[in-house]
Amino acid sequence: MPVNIAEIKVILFEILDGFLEKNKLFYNEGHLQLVLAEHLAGIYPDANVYLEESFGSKSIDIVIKNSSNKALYAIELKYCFKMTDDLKKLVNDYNLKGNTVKFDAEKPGSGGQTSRRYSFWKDVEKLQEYQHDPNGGCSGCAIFFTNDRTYWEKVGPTYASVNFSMHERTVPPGALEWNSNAEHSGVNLIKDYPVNWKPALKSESEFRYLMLFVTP
Amino acid sequence: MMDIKVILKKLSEKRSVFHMEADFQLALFREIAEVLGTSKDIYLEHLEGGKHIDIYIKNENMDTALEIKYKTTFNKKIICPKTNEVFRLKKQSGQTYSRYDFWHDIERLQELVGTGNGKKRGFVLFLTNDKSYWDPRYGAVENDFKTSHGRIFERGSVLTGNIKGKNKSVKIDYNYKINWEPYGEDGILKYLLVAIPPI
Repeated sequence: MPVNIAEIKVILFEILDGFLEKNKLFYNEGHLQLVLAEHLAGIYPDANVYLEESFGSKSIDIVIKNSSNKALYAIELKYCFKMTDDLKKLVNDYNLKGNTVKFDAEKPGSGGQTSRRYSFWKDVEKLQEYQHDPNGGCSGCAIFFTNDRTYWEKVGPTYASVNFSMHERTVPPGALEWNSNAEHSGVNLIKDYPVNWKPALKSESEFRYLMLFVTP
Repeated sequence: MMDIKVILKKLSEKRSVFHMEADFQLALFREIAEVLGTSKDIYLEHLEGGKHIDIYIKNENMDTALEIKYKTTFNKKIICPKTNEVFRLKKQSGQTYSRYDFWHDIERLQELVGTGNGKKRGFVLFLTNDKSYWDPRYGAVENDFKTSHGRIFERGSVLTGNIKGKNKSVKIDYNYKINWEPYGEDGILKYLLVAIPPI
């Protein structure tokens, strides 16, 4: 099947909807990356699927290329989960079978949400840059997959990361800046991005995903 | 039976270098699927016998468990001759730990294969452009876990060492000879393939 940009959006929605039914839970972001890439490689057997492709000092999680290695689609991923009671039971069931898998759940109170919100918008910015890179030049999608509701809820106005909030709205083009004297740079958006979270339909826990499409 | 070295040769003709370990893992997975003509019985990050296996191939006669390592040292420009793509490899430090981790993978697969009633085999595959893994001049002389070319490890021996402040040991259940081979024609990368035979 040739890679069709309009179609790949639908395919990504279908994949993410159905993922948790089969996998129940991903161990970590790398696990999701590998499983998603394998899935896409199966759908597009004639395409090349690269992971962690570098451009400049940065890299892209998944790049789909045609047989001449022209980049056709780029994907950036974020995955994190909170250890809820139902997931604890799932992990205990794994462990009772003698498994030694380590699930990288978010540590409560670690403050990781702030940096992850920022990183997600940096992913969007990176995909914008990749569109103009000689090795890139393609559309892309930034995906955030989580069961932690703090990501889809609005960030309080006094928080440093308030401008990187990922609650539902349309984020206009322009600069997103820290609400403090942060050391990190802001994020520049060249177009507007509608933020619409979707529930993963077949998940055991309340997983949701957000997809922002970076198109020319 | 599937020959990993043949698969690696075929893969090297398409891709002589990879961005990161996951990139190598996926490409190898796809090459195995192409050789077998199907991906139906091949699994990534598979749970088998309580262990997390990078690539697992199910077969009614003999299952194959494959653990992989891909470690790089800095190279700002490697051109893949087949595709003319430019790769930039990152410097990955922590060689001491990686050497131990390689043997730890062998130990895990020894345990898995040991439960297979002769129907499971394992391979640990290490691909790198970092000569400190194959050149005996690198790494502490007394390091049991060194993977220098030509070293021989005898069945029953126990490798020990201090890794990240903890005493670690790995028991060797088979005789192993460390034999690094070039991956691809340019020889920038080398691979080490250790087989754990079925028992």
